[in-house]
Amino acid sequence: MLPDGLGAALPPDPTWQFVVADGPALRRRVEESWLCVADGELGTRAVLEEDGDESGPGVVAAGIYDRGADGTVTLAEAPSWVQVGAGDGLPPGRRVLDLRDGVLVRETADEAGDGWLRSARFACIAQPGTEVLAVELDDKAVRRLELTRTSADPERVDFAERRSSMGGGILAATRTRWRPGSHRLPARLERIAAYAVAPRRRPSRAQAEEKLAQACARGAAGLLEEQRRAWAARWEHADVEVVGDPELTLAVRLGLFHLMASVADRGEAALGPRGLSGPAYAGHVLWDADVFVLPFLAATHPPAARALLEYRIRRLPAARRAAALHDRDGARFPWESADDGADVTPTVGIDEHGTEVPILAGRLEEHITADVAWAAWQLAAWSGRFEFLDGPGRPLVVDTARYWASRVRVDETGKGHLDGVIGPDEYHEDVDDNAFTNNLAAWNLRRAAELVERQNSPGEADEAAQWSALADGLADGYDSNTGIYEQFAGYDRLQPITASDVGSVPFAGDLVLGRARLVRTQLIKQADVLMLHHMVPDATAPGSLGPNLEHYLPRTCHGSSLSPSVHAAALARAGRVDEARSLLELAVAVDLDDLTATTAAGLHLANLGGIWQALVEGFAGVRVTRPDDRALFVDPRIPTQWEELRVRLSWHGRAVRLRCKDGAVEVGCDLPLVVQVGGRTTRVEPPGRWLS
Amino acid sequence: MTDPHSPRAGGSTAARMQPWKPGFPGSLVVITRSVGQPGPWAPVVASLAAIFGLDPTIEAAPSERTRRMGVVAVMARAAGVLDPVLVLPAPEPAEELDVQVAERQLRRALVPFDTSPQVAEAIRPMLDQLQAAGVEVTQIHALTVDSAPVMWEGPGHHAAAWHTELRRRHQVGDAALAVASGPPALAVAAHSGDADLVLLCWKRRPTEGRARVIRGVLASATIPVLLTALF
Repeated sequence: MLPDGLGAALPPDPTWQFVVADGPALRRRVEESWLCVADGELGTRAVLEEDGDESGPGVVAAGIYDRGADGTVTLAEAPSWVQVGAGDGLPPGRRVLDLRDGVLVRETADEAGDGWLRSARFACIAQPGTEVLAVELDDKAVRRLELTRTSADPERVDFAERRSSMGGGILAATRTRWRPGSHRLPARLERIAAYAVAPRRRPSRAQAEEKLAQACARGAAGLLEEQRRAWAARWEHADVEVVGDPELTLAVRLGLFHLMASVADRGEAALGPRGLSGPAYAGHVLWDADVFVLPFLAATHPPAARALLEYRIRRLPAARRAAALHDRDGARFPWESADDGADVTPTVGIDEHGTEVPILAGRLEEHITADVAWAAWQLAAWSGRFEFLDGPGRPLVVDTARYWASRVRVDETGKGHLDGVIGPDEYHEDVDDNAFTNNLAAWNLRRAAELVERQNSPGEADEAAQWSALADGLADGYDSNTGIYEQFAGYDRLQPITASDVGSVPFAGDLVLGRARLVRTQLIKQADVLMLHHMVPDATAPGSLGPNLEHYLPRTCHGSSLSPSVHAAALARAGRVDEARSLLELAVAVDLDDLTATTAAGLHLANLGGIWQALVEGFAGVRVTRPDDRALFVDPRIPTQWEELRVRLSWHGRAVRLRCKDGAVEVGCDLPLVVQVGGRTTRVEPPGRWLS
Repeated sequence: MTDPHSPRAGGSTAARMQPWKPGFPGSLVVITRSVGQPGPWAPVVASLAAIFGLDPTIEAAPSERTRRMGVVAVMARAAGVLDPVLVLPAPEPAEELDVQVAERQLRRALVPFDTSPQVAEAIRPMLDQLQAAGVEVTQIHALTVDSAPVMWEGPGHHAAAWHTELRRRHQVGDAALAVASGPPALAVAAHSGDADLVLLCWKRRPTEGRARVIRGVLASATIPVLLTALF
């Protein structure tokens, strides 16, 4: 039930409502991450209304950073809009996050005689930066939360500002209405908050006031109606349902909800690995955004994917400076960036014992540069238009190719090499000719050459020809006799132990074996070669998925949250659906079972994006390769435990609905669509038809 | 000090069903492993009794033959006690020769912990009381194959977030927090050099295959070990 004045609650549905009821106290911050509400610009963890600052950063704004005294750049904490009291507080009670409208409801029972409270809050996805809170409570709770002073003011407007040390800031304007309790009605508090944020200047008070006035004119109930319409529109193009497994469906929807809530769909979106749900990774932007999250957005809400890429486009000057600093051409994107695009990857960090150790990723994990190019191509491939790649997105592909062209060392035989890198398997650092990095760089070079050729740009023709030649000559690690890519030069000479030789998978190889021993083995943290098969299957040797799965999967510890979903997708494509389902469930458990023991500091958004990729690209077998693809390729592989996999997405401007069963698929669409299923190409007219 | 043969010697268990917890009256059952008196550890016994408001009762270890046998016997005895049990280390050779050994004060306590809510709940009030009495507390968590997070993105951001959450969940007051790798008993042994006391929670199940940490710590301890029963 919603507090008075908001309207009717949506009907109960266990596949749409994520319920948390009085869990153990040690899990409180994990629950705060699960139940975070966000609108793409502002994220609010599920801190209780009476929680103070001790709960940690409760509200953050995307892209607003602070620089600490030690020079580290972290997400700035915004003024809170959910705090209404203090004191000892009440139990968290039962909390329900309804994924259909993004409303978080909390209800406490008066079991200890301390009073009861019911609250509802939501972040307006239709009006980012606008937030609504309504609380009802009895007199005992009013006293317990020390709200008696509030009652003196039936309506008040407050302003709270947080200045960032980097010149920007976050300004919150709030209107709070208070109705004291009576013998008929409980006390009620309603708050509407409007935020103005600015990364590099002081936020405008006038803007916040205007935004607040507009929100108040709509009223809390009006904003909720708008919220429901906006979320319904998002789900219309994004929902995934595993019919026959309601628990999995709910977990998947929870992940999709957070993905959608974490990314703005206008301007630029700086998306850290934990999105707006927590402070881990300081809100820095890594490949998580480009490779794991962007495909979901490109396939469901292209403006949000475009905003992710706008973040990269606006940081091209910094990427070009970074390339020049390394005596290279083109643009080199940093492993971690924040506000201005400079590399903010720590060079020193602590290990599990709290001992300082060097961090090499900023210097060596260079595949991020090709990842950005891949992300730009993905948006174009899903939207079916070259305009972005011919226009603002072009440098993301072309300037990155220029970087690789200047980065490749050509040996006396004419073979190209990339020395001294870290691939996705971060257990092995400073390696030469990492298959993932080399092959993705080659892919980057070829796509850039293609763009130049497409545009018939004579001034760049010679350069493009050089890119193609470099791509052809770059060491790829592939052995045509075995069908296996060597992960990096010398990998095959390492101790050939498998993960099951060490322990029960998954496990953190570096913690269990120690780094010194681990690096001498073939154990890997996550998909590396197989990441190629996942991201650019058409650029891998035909028929090589099976042999590489056979080779690398047993060597994989799944020590990274990025690992299970990618392997689930690869296994599904290889027809090993039961193993794929098992790894999908492991991916789902990453946050729900807190497998990294850091979900308290935010959800693993890349894993959530990976789950979508496993379901859509793995199990449903949707493959999107190029902007000029003539057909949507669908090839479902469905576990027997599932009745059906239902997917909604947007491809080449068409709303597409898939109902995948083993051996058959129903394709629904709003515009005529060409689909390739089981090797047969079929034109489907709206509203759709079954194909087998 | 109470006569160890009095009805109160660990005998407060007869009067209630639940283990002792801070704020409640009870006994501090002191097991000396070989000699009848606490010897150089007498100040530690007295301090603990005062801090927790317990009445010390002294018991000699049932077995004096070997340290290993002593551990088994000590655990069997302690398992029958609901009150805190302080196990004094096997005597140093100098003590056995009746040479005067300097007394040890209770200044620093080492407190191993797993990440279970039960241990966190049980240990917090005791550590509050120890720190209020001026005892420096170091909490130590040992990462093992079973206790380490199954996924670990690496040093840097992930490790920092993990340490932050570990501290927020388990650090009591101003206690120092240390993380070690390997069997907890070895970690305790490696970190106990400066400590005067090891404080451990346990479920009072001394059978083979259980309480391995307690068993290991008791086998190697050169300082007193305070065992407190979990609810």
